[in-house]
Amino acid sequence: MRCQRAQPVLSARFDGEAVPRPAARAADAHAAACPDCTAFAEGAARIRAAVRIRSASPVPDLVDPIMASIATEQRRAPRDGGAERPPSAAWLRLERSRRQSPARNGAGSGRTLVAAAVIGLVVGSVAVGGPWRPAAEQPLAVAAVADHVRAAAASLRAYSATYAVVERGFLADVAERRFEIDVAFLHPQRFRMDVRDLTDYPSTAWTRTSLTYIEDSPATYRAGSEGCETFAHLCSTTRPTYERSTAYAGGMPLPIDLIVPIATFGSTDGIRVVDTEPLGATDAVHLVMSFERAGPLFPVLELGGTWRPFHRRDRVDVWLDAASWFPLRTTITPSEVPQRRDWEMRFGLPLEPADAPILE
Amino acid sequence: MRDPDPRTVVRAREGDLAAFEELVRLLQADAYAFAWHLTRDRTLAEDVTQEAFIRAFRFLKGFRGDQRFASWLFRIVRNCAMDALRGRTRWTALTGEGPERALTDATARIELDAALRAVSREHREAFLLVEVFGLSYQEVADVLGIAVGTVKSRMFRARKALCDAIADEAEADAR
Repeated sequence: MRCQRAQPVLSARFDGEAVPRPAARAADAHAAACPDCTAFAEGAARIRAAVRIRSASPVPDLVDPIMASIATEQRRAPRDGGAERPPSAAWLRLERSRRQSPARNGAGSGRTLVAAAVIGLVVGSVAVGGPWRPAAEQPLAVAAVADHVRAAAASLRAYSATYAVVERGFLADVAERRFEIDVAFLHPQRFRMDVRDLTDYPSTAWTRTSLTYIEDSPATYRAGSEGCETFAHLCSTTRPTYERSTAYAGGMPLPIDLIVPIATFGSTDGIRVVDTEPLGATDAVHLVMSFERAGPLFPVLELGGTWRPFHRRDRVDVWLDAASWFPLRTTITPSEVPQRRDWEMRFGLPLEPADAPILE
Repeated sequence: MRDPDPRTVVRAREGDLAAFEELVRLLQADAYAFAWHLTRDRTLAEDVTQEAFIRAFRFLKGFRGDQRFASWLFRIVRNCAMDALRGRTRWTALTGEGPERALTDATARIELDAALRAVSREHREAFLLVEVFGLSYQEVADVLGIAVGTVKSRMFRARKALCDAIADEAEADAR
């Protein structure tokens, strides 16, 4: 037996694994007369000793935050009966759909939190002094919601999520478009947003509205397809793409209203609380505002690509998690103001009923 | 690596939060240590550990008891770590930061840690699971989703690389 066959046998036996006796005897016989294999066996023993006696890094006590997250998890949904299915990416999937114009806010300081939506729930619990608000309670005042959102933003340290977006009425040939938006935030000023256009277009020649936006000192990076300045039905289906990096402007607020709507709730004017109501397995505060008022909630509209138009008076419904104050769901439905019909005709849109969301 | 009382696992599967907390208390240190070895970042390791237990809670009904609970949990920890590292890679792609980062454990044995970092991730994972956490080759195979023979091969290659690295270090010191 030679070294290249003996050493793997020695290695497995060193780990207490069963090895066929003939192979074990042959390996031992070889090693007894082979300096290299003897050195290998001695090295393995030294490594084991080094590994075993090395000081462990201090282990944090994570029991309390883990159990707090579990309590939230238990409240959210029944447990899945299937086997563990690891996601393919470090994103949590949440029921969200948002669009924003690029009004931004600065990130606050705060303690370290787990990079998951449940962290926000822990924060929300701390901020309001009690996690769960029964649906039977009176609706909150908008000012109270704004206070909660600000508190949630102040203690946000890290966050990542994926949003599913459905846009309707883009074009006659493309009545419905589907997107996924990945968002990641790291305190204090690192932000990344990736928009993936998953639409089935009439042909592969159509330029997808896929975008990337990164703010990470010392640079801001953008990539995607150029926006269209005119009406969607007049835009070319093939758009030029761009990729540019500019100096990071530290004074500019980040577009994180997708995560915590701090800019939207910078003022309470024009926002109305509908009710606190169940949404899935959690309670959510339902608010309504105009599309014009909801600008910061939809940053992707200003980053490039081609989007359908929205009337400034279109209705935006937002559901904020009553514990974490993270947006859970957002919809845009056509307004019923008389001016909208003229507007629809100018944009080449059909009559859009007020009871069907055009974005969610 | 400690394994919980099977009755605790059964109670936790039935929804007993106190039983699940027992599992957390028993295994969170090992889970964190494994997460740290994989990510080499304390903050990320904390995140990974918490996410792993959340997933374990979510999918506990799917644990069939045909492997050690700790092995099943470690597989989740590994998956969470890989997800986290992929997410972190998206940050570093444009900033130019390399995948290696400075050790955060000031008490680590520098020579061995330096050598470990030089070993490929696949080999390092297997090595850590066996040498640090005391898993058998079959358990490592369960955690990593590979064949036992592959575990044997990776263990040997990791051990060989570390032996060679430490021998080179010793030779250099002797000169």
